[in-house]
Amino acid sequence: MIKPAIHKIYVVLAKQQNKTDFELLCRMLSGLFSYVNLTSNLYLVADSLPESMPRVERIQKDAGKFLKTNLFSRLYLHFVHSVSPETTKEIDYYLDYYYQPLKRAAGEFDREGLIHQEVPRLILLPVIAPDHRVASASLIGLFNAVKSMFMLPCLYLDKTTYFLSKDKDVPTRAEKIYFGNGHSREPAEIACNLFYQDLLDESLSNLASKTVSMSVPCPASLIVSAGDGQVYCCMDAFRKDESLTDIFGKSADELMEIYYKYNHSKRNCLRCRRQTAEFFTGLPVSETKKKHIGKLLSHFETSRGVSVR
Amino acid sequence: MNILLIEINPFAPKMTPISLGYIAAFLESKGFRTKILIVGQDTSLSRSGFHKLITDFQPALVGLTAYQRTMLYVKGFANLVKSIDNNIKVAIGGPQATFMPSHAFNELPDIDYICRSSGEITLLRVARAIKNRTPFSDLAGVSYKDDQGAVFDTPQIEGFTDLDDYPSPYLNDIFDYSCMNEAVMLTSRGCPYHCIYCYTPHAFNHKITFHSVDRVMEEIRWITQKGIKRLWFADPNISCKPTRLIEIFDRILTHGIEVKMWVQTRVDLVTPELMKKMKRAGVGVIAFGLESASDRVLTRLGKQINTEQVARAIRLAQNQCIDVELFTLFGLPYETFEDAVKTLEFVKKNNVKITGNSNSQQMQIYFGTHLAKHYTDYNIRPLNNKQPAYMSIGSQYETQWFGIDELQKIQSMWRANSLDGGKRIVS
Repeated sequence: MIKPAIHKIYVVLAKQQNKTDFELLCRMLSGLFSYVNLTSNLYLVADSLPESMPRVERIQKDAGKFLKTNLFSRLYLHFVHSVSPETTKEIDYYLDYYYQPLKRAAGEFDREGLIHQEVPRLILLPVIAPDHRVASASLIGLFNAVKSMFMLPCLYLDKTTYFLSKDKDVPTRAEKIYFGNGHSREPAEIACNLFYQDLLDESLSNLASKTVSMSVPCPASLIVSAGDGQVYCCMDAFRKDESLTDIFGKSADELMEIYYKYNHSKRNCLRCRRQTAEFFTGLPVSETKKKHIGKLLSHFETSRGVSVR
Repeated sequence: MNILLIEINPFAPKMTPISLGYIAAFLESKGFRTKILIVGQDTSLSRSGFHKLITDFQPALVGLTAYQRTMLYVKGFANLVKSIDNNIKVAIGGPQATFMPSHAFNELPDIDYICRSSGEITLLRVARAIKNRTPFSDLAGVSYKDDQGAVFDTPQIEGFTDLDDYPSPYLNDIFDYSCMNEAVMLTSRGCPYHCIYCYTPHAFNHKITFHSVDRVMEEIRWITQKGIKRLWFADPNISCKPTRLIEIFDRILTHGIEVKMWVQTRVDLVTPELMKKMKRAGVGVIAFGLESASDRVLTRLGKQINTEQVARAIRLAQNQCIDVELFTLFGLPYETFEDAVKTLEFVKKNNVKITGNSNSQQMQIYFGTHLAKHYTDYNIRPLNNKQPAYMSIGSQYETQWFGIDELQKIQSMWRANSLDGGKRIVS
């Protein structure tokens, strides 16, 4: 029996990181790549890109090393960060000093993809969390510039920035829009909201396919809190601070042994899915999505009725 | 001796790997133990998981199905297999392998055999050679690279002319029915036609071979007893022998078997009677190859049909409330941008939903096709002269009539008209 692969890893980067601890984190992540799915997602959630750029670059480099020697692997690297570009000059600054170097470092995968007539195996997706001062025109300018570099920009909106989704040109230019329902711009909070949105999308897809039970655990994931080195098996565990283990003095093999030993069924995955759907009912998602969420909630209600009987 | 067979299609949900199923059933009937690994979009598999599979199953031979799009995966899995145990032999087969040039071995360091002929018989010879510890003797239907790196091509071998001589993967329970929503059937192989862009006629020497109606019915009964109620017929032209197909449908009706079916055929191989029968028997979707709505282009493709016939076949199906899918291509030889727009308009005008297989795609120039051998005669200009020898021209070309910008433009137009974002299932 082949054990399930990890589909998503969320790394909540610390504002400031001890160099030794960061080395341990990198070593752990490099080891974990052997346990991720053939197509997987790595989210690096930072506060500000300028502060975390060297760490993002280093993790991207390690991911690239793994992909280079494992041609069957494909990685979507989402780097999540706040931005407040208000002028063209500021947009250019972001492009020149942050996005372009990251894109350049992924260049060999673009060339490989071209030769093999396939999409590159390393896809970079900046997830931009603008602050309330950002005008939609600036954001559109940034998205256009990012797209011209063949990166797929995504957007994270919270209560202070929902207004940006009202400009119809913003949603059409973003690959995906994530929503948070508070004001907090802490990386940990943002990571939770990204996870919930992915979980909601998975629940909706399960509902559409009608073949998967809603009580199944969420797609195999790991959440790593870089600040204190704690590792969690899902966002519910992260919220409740119920860590599996930490990254100190352990190999990825040992971590994964603990992960597989941990019985997911001890968690109330059905409740988590339902709460996630409820979480999104009040958010400014599209009308179509609202309808789908309504169907999902009614499915949960019906299931609850059945289980009570 | 254990043999691991791997089907890779990470761009689509898992489908029944029918060809590998046949090979597995045949090898099992000759005393080999086989396992099939399907790597689909929804497969959960890591490097570590694959490593464990190899160390637990201990195959002496790993066979990988190769397609143009999956060559990186093929190389990656082959490399991992060899890194685990260098004694394991690795073979590739399938559409990309049949006509792949032998000098491609130079860029495929971890591949030992390229299978060229009928998969079952070719791989059996390879398996027996490995079992006898003489891995490169008495082979046929393959090219191989020996331990010193020298490359050899062996003579072709013919597959069985009566497909019933191959054991059934269904009747021999090769597949796991618990996670199967739809069974893929292959009741005939090959194609006698001469479309210049197509691989199938050349791979089967323009011949077509069949299973008997008895065997097809035995499989259908078995599959439906297992709870599978959807059949997907992979036969290139299911109605090549109309009387045979009518007999299959008659028997489905007589036995009261309730199944939903997807079939594909040529527009000149359907009649009102056949279409009525199809509907009654449970065909929900029929796919036709249109390729282009320009009769001038169709003639040059050697397709031997015209747009009037296509429109008629669509009407016949729609009159019976059978959904129609149309396979179309753009970037064809002699096709102008205006011709390509005409194709899109034809699909819309005939009320064919642009979704799934009816999403258009650029023609691919695959190894072994008439076009691959004679592309210069058709004023096709490859865009990349530095591609690895294991890759064919594929979609990296432009024609005298269709530039790269126009190719992108027509693709965008199709996407804009698509109901599902433009993802085609069958390539």
